[in-house]
Amino acid sequence: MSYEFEKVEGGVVFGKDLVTNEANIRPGLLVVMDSGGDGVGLCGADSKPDGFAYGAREKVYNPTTKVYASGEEVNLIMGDGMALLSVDFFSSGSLPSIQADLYAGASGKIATSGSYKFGKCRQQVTSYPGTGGVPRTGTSLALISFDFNAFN
Amino acid sequence: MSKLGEIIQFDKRVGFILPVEENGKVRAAYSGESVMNEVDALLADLARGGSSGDARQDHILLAQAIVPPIAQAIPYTRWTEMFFMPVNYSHGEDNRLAVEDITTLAWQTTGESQVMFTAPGYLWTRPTFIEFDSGIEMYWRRMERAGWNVLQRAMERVRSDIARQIDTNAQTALDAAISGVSHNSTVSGGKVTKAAVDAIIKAAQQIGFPMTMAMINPGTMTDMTSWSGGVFTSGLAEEDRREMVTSLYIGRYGGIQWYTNPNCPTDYVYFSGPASNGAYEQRRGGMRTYSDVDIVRKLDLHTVLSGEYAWYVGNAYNYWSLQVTS
Repeated sequence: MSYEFEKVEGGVVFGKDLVTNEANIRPGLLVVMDSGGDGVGLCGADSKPDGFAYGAREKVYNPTTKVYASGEEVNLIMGDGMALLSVDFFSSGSLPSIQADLYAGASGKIATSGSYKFGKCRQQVTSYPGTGGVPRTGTSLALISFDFNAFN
Repeated sequence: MSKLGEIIQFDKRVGFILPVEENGKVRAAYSGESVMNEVDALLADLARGGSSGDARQDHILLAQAIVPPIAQAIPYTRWTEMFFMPVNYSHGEDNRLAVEDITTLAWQTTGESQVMFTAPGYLWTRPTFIEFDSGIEMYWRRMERAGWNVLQRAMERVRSDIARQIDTNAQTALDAAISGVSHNSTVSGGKVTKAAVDAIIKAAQQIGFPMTMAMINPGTMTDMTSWSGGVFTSGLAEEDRREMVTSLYIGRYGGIQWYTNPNCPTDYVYFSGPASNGAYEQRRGGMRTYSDVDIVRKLDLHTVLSGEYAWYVGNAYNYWSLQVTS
């Protein structure tokens, strides 16, 4: 499974009068709130991330993708905590090394260098997907700590 | 002048109308024109004999007693059906299927550390329905001239063609799923080998989805006669030996029920566990035929519509294929 994102500890899940202001946002991508206070868009490398987009698509009838439509209700994980992310969320195309600092990258992804540092890779763990009969090869995930409070 | 019926009769052995012979000679001589007139009258009588009040029915009934040509192609029977669970939908009904979206992780921990949570998600998929159709124009004159039920044979061919189209699409869905999990393998040399089949059986056992059935062309299956090694070297059980001699294959090799269908490609063998472990064939509506009469063009129109079909392989790990290359 691709784009695996799990908030495993902490954070504040904020989702009051909040909608996406563009397409291509999915849970786990870095986002920024707009000046109107009710919209979120993908964070770029030159922006201060407000948090991760988060949440199931509740108002869409039996959704076939986790990518939000533009204007769709969304949550924002703010504050600090820990999360698991698959390789898909990293600009480099590979998991960051342990202890690597994490920065806002392009298109809501995470880079290991940049202007706005928001976290650190703490461990690499293995998750066994529910496929393959008896899965012997797991999926490597990065366990990261994050803190978006610095940008408030 | 003699009546036509007195000088011709239908010969069931050969399926043709033949002149009645007496002492090796045709009973009466007829001019070609008068014979044609009488034949036309006879066919017209046959058509009216339907007495259905429906011209289309009358045309279909026309001269049905005449034996059709011996078919040179067998009716198409589907071979992909056994790999899918059939599910019927009504029009307007959502054909959504749930897709698993779960990440879990267990940790070695200390007694005082916080528990880390993951949250299961949900997703659906909606396979796309496709459908097939075909049509036949049946000129009245052609039916008359043919003298046998051409339409029936044509309709059988149409049904076969539609079944073939359905199989082609089901096979495409199956192939895509199988290659997606790298369960497709190849054996060279133009024959299905024991080693290649054994490797698939072993790999399937290793992941906990053992193969229980296989679909193979019956000709391809006779490659078993060249197998060696294992029980084929040390000696087969008596019942297997007898089956090998009489059918040129063992229909239960490897704990698999081997199904044969001459429509299955000769260069592919497909394996699977129970279909309930793997895939759906969604169906909406059934096969329908509609007919109409075109009196301007003097023909009947027959339209055959398939139902709608969609395929979804939910667990590709249940399926394997073996391609035989030269």
